[in-house]
Amino acid sequence: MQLIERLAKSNYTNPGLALLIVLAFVPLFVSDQYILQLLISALMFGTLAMAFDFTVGFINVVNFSFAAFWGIGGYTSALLAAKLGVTPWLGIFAGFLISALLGLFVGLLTLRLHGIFAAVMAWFTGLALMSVITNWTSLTRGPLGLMSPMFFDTMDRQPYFYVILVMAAFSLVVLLAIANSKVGLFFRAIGQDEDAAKASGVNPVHYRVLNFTVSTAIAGLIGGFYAHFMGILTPSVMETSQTIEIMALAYVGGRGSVWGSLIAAMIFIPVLTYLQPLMELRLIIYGVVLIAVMIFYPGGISALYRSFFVVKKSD
Amino acid sequence: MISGPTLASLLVAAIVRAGLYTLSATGLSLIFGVMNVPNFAHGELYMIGAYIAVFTFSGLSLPPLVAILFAGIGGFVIGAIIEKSVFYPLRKRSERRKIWIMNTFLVTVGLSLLLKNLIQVIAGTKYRGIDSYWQGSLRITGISVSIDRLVGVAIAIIVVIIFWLFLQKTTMGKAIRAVAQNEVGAKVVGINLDTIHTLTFALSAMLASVAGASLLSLNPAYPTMGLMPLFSSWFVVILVGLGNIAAVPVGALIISLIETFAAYGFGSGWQRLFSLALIILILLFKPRGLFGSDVKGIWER
Amino acid sequence: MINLLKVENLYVGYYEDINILQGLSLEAEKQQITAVLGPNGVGKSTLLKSISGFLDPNSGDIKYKDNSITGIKPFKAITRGIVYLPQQLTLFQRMTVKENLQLGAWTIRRDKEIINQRISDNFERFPILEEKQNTSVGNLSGGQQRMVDLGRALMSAPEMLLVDEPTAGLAPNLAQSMYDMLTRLTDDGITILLVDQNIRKAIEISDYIYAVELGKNKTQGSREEFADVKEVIKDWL
Repeated sequence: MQLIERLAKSNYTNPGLALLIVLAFVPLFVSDQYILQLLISALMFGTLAMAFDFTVGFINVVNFSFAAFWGIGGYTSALLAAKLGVTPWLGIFAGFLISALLGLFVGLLTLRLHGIFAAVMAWFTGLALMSVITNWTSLTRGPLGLMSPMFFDTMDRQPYFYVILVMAAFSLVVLLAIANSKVGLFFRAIGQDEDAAKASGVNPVHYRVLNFTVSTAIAGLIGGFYAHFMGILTPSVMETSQTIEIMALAYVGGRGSVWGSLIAAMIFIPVLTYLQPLMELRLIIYGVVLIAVMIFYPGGISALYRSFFVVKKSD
Repeated sequence: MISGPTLASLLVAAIVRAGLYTLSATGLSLIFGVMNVPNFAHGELYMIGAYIAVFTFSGLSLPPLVAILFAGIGGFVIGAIIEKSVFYPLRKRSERRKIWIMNTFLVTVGLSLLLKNLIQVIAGTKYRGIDSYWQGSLRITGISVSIDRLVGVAIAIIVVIIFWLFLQKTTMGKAIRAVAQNEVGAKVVGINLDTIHTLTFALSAMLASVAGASLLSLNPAYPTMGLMPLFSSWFVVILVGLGNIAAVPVGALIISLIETFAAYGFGSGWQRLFSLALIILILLFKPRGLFGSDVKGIWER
Repeated sequence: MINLLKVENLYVGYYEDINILQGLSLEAEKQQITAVLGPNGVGKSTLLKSISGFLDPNSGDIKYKDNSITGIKPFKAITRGIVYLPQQLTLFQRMTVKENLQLGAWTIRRDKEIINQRISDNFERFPILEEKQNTSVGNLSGGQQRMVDLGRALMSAPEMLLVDEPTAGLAPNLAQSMYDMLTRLTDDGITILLVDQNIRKAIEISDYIYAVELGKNKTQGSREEFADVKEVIKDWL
């Protein structure tokens, strides 16, 4: 038990990484396309939720425009591939970069503000972005959808699974690395008590924008994956409701844990998709769970985990 | 240049829209001012009114005014239930914490999801519209305006005026304003905050429901219909200043003029972008709104 | 001497495990001014809040007329006759003087005649308010606002007033009028529990004094016993 406790205490070992390692072996045993599809979906949303948590759980800003960056990443990569013939493998990095740049821009605009204010500002900015994509039909074909080349010629889900697995692992490691570094400490300080942080010489706006940019960059990367995995993009991916689904995962996973979101996605996405007949209830369940967690158990899954591995402070 | 008749009909359209926006934005402003709740589920309250109207008018063949009345009452009751079951527990648990506003916002997000999909389960995703409540049209200054829209606007204006009088002249209305102006003071004089909160939310829901019901011929009922009223209410409220109920009609007119003319000039898809741009500018440069925000400290949290 | 209020062994804090008041006890006699004095932050306001229901104690008992009112809701306290007058003005700034007074009678709002009578009484006490009755409270001076505050508190005809630093920020002559008013109120039958930073003045008008330090009782006694004010003040400097 002691070893487990020590591992639990370490900032790097956590259920998220463990899960990803386990998942790496899954395709060796499972070839059911449906299951792989589910896992891909879960990994995708899990990574998105982790990036979202990176913002809300650290600098305490609810990025209501998050899904917009996911969409922008996707559209960037898709457009480059469809119109200019750029290979998806490069396209996703373009998506990553463009989302980062946009995130930087939006962050600079909104992050001088606080709390609800910043959330609303981000929300409307995201809406504006979605509006542009929707209405610029000559470029994006709007709601009709943009066709986008896939990564692989095969219909087999397995290679896609590994791509997203790598992306998820990359994101988790990077986010954790930042979170556990001095920068991460600054993030948390700013999120908790901005005035105290300022007094210690930390410039809140700089760090908030940095955090925001990292978060949106990852969203863009996943957007690129999404584009070349689904083969078609519509502006609806940028809708507020998408941000809400991601947000629910982050909250249920436990804010500020990063890995909690991944676990939450791993549980919720397959469960809710399996309950196919209850499809419409899916969002009701999201809604109820979100409300319940907010009211009764704001700590989420990560708090639950920590309560099982109570580490006693040494005297 | 826009021709005379076209200009007139655009203005009429804008005024009709403004009436609608005034009604539903007033409800949102009230919530902000009194309860400090940024209500993301406001559009769903509008939607509830629309559905009640559909069922009573189309389903039960009740007269239009009765249908709208039912919508208002239904909205009131449902609002009260929501407040008691969602916000009351949250308030009790947040008493000793300061994260009330953000938490409440997120709770309303969950609420919105819940209501949207509950309706979907109950009533399906089909658009449920009506041709019109009342037949016929009037000619005003040379343009033809349907009676439906006229009555719709009239109802909106009348309800807003009655509501305003309620707030200003009745004791209960003053109590609501008292809670908005100084919550501790309200406790000091013995006002039961829980009752006021429930009443306020119920009233807000009622206003939104009446709005949803009155222009059913223009805006048919469907589960995600709440999105538009949500945005427009938020836009208006931010434009004039959170909690500033008196200025809402002005803001509603501004937003609806912008949207109506933008839709005419650029197509209906782009109109939202114009209001968005305006609101983003407001948030950047005049965050307290054009006429000042009554809500103390909301921006600091 | 009728004992109106009895506080026993009160532990109060804003969080469950941090107590500002640690076992405080006191009694207030009817129609007297009882003062609670002590340095800043010692918990005097917290005491008043817990008696009037604005803050629930973590443990201990509060009895009013031999009935326990521990953990009572604020609006219930008022119906029992206990009114709390916080340190910071809690007026409704965008309403008129008259509207503020009317709201003070919220608990008896159906009785229009009594309300009007009490408003007249207030105008007698504070003539300037009659003149300004339709003015927005926000446009009054600090001293005038304090009058409205007190007047509003009196609208429900309280038996006991919990007064928290009634003269903070007032010019000396206005402060004196306030103290005179408090004395007059007890002559009219109201019991007052007074918290004040102005030790000298508070002792001057009080019948009984409690000195509190670090959330606990330190000393207590009648006005005569606290006559040598210098000693008391020295302790707290």
